[in-house]
Amino acid sequence: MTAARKILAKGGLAGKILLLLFSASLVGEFLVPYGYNDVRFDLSYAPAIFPEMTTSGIIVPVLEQVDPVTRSYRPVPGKTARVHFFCRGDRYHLFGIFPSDRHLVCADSPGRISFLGSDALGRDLFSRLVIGMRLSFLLSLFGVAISFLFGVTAGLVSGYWGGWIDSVIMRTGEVFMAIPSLYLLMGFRALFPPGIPSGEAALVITGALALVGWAGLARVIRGVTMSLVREDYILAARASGATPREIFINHLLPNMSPYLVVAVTLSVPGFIVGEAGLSFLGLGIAPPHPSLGNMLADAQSLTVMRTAPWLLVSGFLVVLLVLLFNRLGDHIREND
Amino acid sequence: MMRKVLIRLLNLVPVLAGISFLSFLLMRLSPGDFLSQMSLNPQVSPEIIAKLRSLYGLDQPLPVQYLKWVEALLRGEFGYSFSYHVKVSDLILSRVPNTLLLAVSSVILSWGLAIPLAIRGAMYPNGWIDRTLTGMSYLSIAIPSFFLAILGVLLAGETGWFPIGGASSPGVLGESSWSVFLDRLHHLILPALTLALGSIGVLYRLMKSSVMEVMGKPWMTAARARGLSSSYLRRRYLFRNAVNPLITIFGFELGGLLSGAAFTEMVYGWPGMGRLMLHAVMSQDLYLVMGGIMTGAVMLLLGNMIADAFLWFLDPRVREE
Repeated sequence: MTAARKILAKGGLAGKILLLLFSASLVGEFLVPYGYNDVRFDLSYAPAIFPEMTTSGIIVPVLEQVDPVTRSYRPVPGKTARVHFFCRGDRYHLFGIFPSDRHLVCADSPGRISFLGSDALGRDLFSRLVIGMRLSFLLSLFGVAISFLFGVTAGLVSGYWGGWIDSVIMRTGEVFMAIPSLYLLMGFRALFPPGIPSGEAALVITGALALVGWAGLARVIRGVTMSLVREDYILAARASGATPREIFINHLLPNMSPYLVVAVTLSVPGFIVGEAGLSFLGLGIAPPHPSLGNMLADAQSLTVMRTAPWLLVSGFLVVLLVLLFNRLGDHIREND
Repeated sequence: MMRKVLIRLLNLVPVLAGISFLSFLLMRLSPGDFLSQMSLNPQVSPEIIAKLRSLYGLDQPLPVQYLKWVEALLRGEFGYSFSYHVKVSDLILSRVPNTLLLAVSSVILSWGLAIPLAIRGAMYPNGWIDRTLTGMSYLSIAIPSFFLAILGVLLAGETGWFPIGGASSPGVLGESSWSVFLDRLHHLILPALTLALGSIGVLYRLMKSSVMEVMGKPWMTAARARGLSSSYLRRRYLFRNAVNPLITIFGFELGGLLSGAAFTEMVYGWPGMGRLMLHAVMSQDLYLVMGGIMTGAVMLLLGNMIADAFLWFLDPRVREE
């Protein structure tokens, strides 16, 4: 909670938007009208269906397919469906624990409320997008945490002791940095069979991205540590018999926290783009589970892009998230 | 001078050894190898599998295997690809030129666009050119290469200006070398432009701040006061001093560029290393994966060294150090 308050206070507009998106995605299943795998073959590549205000309440038009080849739709004349709030729909577990089937909005069957249109299987793109965005958030936060644990430890040890430990750690880091990241990611991914389940794939991706990210961080932290170690207060702490662990936790980490916060923020986009990229290539999260990358992969062919240009939205969402995180990082750096 | 170059080269040895060890580890850590896949095939008898295993040295202890592999690497042997049924080195050699062509042309495009634009932007900071370009540079940094490539496919499909897929049109091989060249160029433009647009943002911002810094130097004012023409000043003094940090980060950028090139290749069907790697990972063709990692690392290290050489050539301060 303190982190949230800090982002609200210091993060500027970008921080507020990100916090809003993140908290919304946490209760995503409730906010979206449908489950991520709610297939409707009769609505394949159907366009967005917005609710309308009428005298008899809020309604949505019911669509029917006109041409199964071009996937063109028209509203069935005179046929509409009512829109409800806090209604029952697809089942889900809130936060993965509490079973529920309540949704903020939904439409009576066979009507469908769809803010962004549908994909090839007639699944609601908006519902999938929110769940995919949450995956991006959680995966990158988790991945950043791992890569920080390794990177910061390596950097502190390296910068504090120097000597041969420093050489070993830094040379190891150089090895990781000498391989183009996508090549390293793919090499790490090759350790596991191509078609592993999405849950495992998420772990593998997180591990792979952390593996790629730690070295750059370790270098930065090492530099900061080396300059801080020369300060008088560290010397005083040492002279009064503090153990290295105490010095790391009580003196070095708090003093480099401004760098750390900026580095955390600026390393999140790498994880978001990395997950999206690997899933896009079919090496990450596998369908039917939504991820911003595998949803974009659905839009790869020109015919699909012409029929359902809204499938590109997941790509734009990646761009938006990266822009916001970069802006947040800049903002924190400028205001500290 | 020779000594410095030699030391640089010697410093590469542990890094290369580390990379080879890492890629070897990645391969050996994987639960199965290509033979375990093959052994699922009922048509292949266990004896043949055992024979192949000893032929490739897979039944020997790990350190022996590693040394054997390194020894083979030094001879330029990367092993055998089990999905393409050819030697890995042949495959890689046939793909590396395509990736390099793509990467080099995108570097030429992005530097050629970013540097003049950044000098113009720095001349009138916060002018409309600078403000537009700064805004676009944020976008350029944020947009992932694969998404940009997809948008490129859409552009090509809607306008018909560019061919999509592959590096040459079918049937062009029989024609004159000039039309083969033009065809290749036509296929290259869109992937190279995609890749360049993705890296132009960082270059623009860095170059602009560097130009502004150099322009504020007292010796610039002195040179201007002595009546040097502004175009001479730009070419002879401003550019050479301001381009320094750009070359310094080139090595860093190159890693991202090669990764981006891999994504771009996959979307456009450009037959380069990235597509080869993806295929290798998908079919668990481990020798090919390892060869790909090694090649990627060597390309990156070479790029770094070329950048260092450029810096040495352009900047007398680096030479005197």
